[in-house]
Amino acid sequence: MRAIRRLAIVTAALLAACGGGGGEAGEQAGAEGTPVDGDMLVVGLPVDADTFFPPLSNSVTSSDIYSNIYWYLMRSEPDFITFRPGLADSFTFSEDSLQVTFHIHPGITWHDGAPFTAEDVVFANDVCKSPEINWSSASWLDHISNVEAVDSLTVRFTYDEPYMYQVLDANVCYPLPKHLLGDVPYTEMGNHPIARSPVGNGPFRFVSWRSGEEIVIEANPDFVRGRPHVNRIAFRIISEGTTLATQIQNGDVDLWPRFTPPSFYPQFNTDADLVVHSYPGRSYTYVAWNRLDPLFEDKRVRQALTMASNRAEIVEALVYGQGHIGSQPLISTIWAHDPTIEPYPFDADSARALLEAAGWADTDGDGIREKDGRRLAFRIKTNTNNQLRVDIATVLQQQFRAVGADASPEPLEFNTFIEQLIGKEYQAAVGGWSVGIKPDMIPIFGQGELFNFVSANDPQLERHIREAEVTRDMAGMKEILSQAQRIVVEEAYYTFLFQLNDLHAIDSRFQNVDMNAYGWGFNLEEWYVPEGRQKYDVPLSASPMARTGADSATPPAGR
Amino acid sequence: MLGYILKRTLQSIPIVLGASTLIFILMHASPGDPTSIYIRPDIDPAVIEQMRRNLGLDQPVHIQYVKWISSFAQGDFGYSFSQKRPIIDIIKDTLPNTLLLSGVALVIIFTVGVLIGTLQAVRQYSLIDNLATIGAFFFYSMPSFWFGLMLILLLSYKLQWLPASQMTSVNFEFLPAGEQWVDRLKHLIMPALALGMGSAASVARYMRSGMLEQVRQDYVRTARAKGLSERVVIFKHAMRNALIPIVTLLGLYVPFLVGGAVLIETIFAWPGMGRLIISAIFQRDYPVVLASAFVLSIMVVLGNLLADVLYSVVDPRIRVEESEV
Repeated sequence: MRAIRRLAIVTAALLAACGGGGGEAGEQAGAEGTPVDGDMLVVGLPVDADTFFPPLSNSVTSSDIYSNIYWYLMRSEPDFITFRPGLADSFTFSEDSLQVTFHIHPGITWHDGAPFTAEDVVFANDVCKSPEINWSSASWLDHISNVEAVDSLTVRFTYDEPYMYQVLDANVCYPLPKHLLGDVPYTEMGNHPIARSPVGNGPFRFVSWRSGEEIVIEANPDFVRGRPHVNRIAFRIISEGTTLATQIQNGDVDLWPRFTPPSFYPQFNTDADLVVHSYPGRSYTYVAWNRLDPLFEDKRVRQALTMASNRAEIVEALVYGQGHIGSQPLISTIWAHDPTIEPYPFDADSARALLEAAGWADTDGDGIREKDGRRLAFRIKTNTNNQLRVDIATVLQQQFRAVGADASPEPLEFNTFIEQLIGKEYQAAVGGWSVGIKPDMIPIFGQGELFNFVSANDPQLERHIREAEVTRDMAGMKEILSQAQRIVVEEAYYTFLFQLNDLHAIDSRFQNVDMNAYGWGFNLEEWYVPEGRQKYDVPLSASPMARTGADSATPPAGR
Repeated sequence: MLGYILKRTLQSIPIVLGASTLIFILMHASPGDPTSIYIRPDIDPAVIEQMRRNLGLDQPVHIQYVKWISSFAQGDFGYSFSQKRPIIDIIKDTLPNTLLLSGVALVIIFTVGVLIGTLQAVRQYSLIDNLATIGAFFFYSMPSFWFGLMLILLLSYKLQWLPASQMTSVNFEFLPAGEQWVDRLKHLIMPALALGMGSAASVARYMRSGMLEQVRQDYVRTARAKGLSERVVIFKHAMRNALIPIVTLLGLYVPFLVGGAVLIETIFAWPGMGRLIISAIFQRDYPVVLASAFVLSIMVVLGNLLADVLYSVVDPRIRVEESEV
C-alpha cells in the first residue's frame, strides 16, 4: 500500500517538477541509531481543542498538545510517584517536610524570549486557585498554603501538613507567563490572545490553529535542554473513525493515539508500515448493578451473574486480547493495586447453584428463573456512542441466558445515560471508569456520593475509604484500600469486566518511541526519523514572534 | 419586484424566529447541559455549580430565552461554551467552507443533471437512456453518507488517488501556488460528489421528462421546419423552456444541501457549519446550536426566495405585479 503511494508521489513529483519528501529515495541511508533532526509528525485526533489556557481547558486534545508547549517544574514518571526533571532540575524537602523547594534550570525562556522565573510559578498558583477562573482541579492545591519565589531560580512551596502527594500537587498547575498575564483581570484571561496562541516554555512552540481543522506546533530550537528532533507536529481533527483509519493506513496520518474501537487492532497490527503500542491503561469496563432494585438487592444474585460472565471470552472476542480481566476497582496501573485479590472465576455451574440457593428457580420451564412472582428479567443500559459497550451488552445477554437470566440491552444517548445512572433509574448498566492518578474510592463507593449509583452501603467499607483519605503513609493507605477493595469484591456491587489497554498506532519510520502508562507522548521530544526515511521537508519558522500572536486563527499566507 | 422581495423578507422573519424558538425549547428539554461533560468523580460538584452560574444556566428557562433573544436582536451571537470564543468568529470561519462545498455541489447537480437529462431525452429508449435511468435511481435512493464512505474506501484507501479528509493537505503551505489549487480541488471533489449525486440524479429525471415534453411541442416542429440545425433546436430553444422548473428546483435544493452537508462534513472532516452544529449538539453548547440554526434557517428562507424570484424572471408567463406591495 505504501509502495503504491510512494510511486504515486514520485510520479506526481516528476510531473510537477517539484521536490517532494525524501521518503522515496530508499530506507537504509543514515545510521539508524543516531538521532537526526527533521520531518513532520501528523497526528489524527477526533476532537478539536477547546483552549490552550490550561486552567480553563477540559479537553484531552488540548492537554495532549499544550503539554508540549508548557512544562511543569518536575515531570512525572509513569508511576506518578517518582519524577524526572522538567523546568526544574531537582527538589529538596525541608527538615519538617512542610516545605518543598524546587531548583529551576538556568537559562529557560518563554517562547517570546522573556526569561522564565520563579515568579511565574507563584503567579500561576494564584491563577489556579482563584474562584473567577474556577479551575476544575483546584482542590488538588488545598494543602498548599503558600508559594514564594526565594530568588529567580528557586521556588518554595509550603504545605499545611506533610502527606503523600506533596511533589505531585506542586506540579499540576502549569507555570504561566506573568509578564503577559500579570495585569490581566482573572475574568478576562480566557479571552486573552494566548488562550488561542499560547506562549509557553516547553520543547515545542505554537505555530497555528485553524479551528476544527488543524493545530500545528514546531520544535523550539532555543529549548535549553536541547531541541526536539522532529521539526513539526501537525494535529489534524478528523471525527469519523473510518476516515481516520483510512488515512493512517494510506500514510496521510502518522499517529492515531487511543484509537477506537479496538476492532481496528488486527488490521493495524498486520500493516507492515505501522507499529501498534498496547499497554495496560487507566480505564476499566464494568457492569454496574443497582442494589436498590429488588432483583439485585441480594448479593448472591450479583455474585452469580459475575460468575456467569465469561470475561476471557469478551476480552478475546471484542477487544482482541488487548485487555486484562478485572478483579478490583484499583486496577493494575495504580500503585495501590492488590495482586492478591483474585477475579471471580467464570463458572456457570456455580452461578446456577448460587441463584438456586438465593431462591431463584425456573418453575415454569421457559428458561428464565422466577422468585416471588418476579422474573429475573432486566435491562442493561449503556451509551450508544461506544460500540464496544453495546457489543459487550449483547454478549452478556447470551451469557446470562445460559444461567437463566433474561437481559435486554438498551443503548442510550450519552447524556441521557449519565443522567439515568446518577439518578439510579437503571437496573444494570455497562459503563467504564477512568482511574485518576490518586487512588480514591470515595466518589464511587462513599455513601451519599453523587457517583455511588450502585448504592454501596457496607459500613465497614465506608469506614475504610474515609480513613484512607487521611492516612499519610503509603504502606498504611495501601493496606486500608486493600481491605476496602475486598469488601467491594465480596459484595459484587460491580462486575469488573476488564481493564482496557491503551492502543496507539504510529508509522514505523519514527524511532525511539516510548509509550507507557504516562501517555503516548511520554518522550515525544526524543522521537526522530532516520535520514533516509524522512517524508516531509518542512523547515522551522524563521522567527518565533512571526508565528505567535492574535492573528493565528487566520490561515497562513498562500491560501 | 423589489416590493415583492421586501414583502417576502418581512414574512420570513417570523419563520426564522419561530424555528429558532423551537430549537431553543428542544435543546433545553433534552437531558444534560453544557456542564455535563464535567460531571466526573474527580471534579467537585461545587465547581460545576459555579460553572452553571457563570454561564447563566441557573436562571429559569424563560429568563434565558429573553436574554438570548434580546442579545440576538442586537447582533450579539454570544459566546461558545465549548470553543471559548465569540460565536461570530466561529461562524466566520465555518460558513464560507459550507458555502464552498454546497456551491460546488450545486454546480455538479446542475451540470450533470441537465446534461444527462438532455442526453436521455434526445436518445429516448436507447441503451444510454436505460443505463442512465438505472444509474439515476441508484444514486437517488442511495444514502449520501454511505456513498461518501464508499468513495473514501475506493478512491482513498484502495486506489489512493484522492485524500480522504479536510480541505487541504498537511504540507499545504509549503506547496507552490499552482499546486495549492490542485490540492484544494482534490480535497473538494469527493465530498461535493457525495453531496450532489443524489440530487443530480433527480434533476436528470426532471430534465429528461421536461425535454421530452418540449420536444413534442409545435414550436420545435416549426423550428425544425425552418431549417435550424438539431443542435440549435435542442440547446437554444427546447432546453430553455425545459430549464424553467429546474431553475426553481435549485433554489429549493439549498435546504437539502445544508442538511446533507451535516453528514458529509462529518465523514470528510470538512470544517463547515454542518459539523459545527453536530458537535455543538452533542456538547450541549446552546449558543452555538441556536446561532447555527439561525444562520441555516436564513439560508433556507433565502433559498426559497431565490427560487420564487428566479421563477418569475425565467418564465415570462409569470410576472410579479409591480404594484404589489
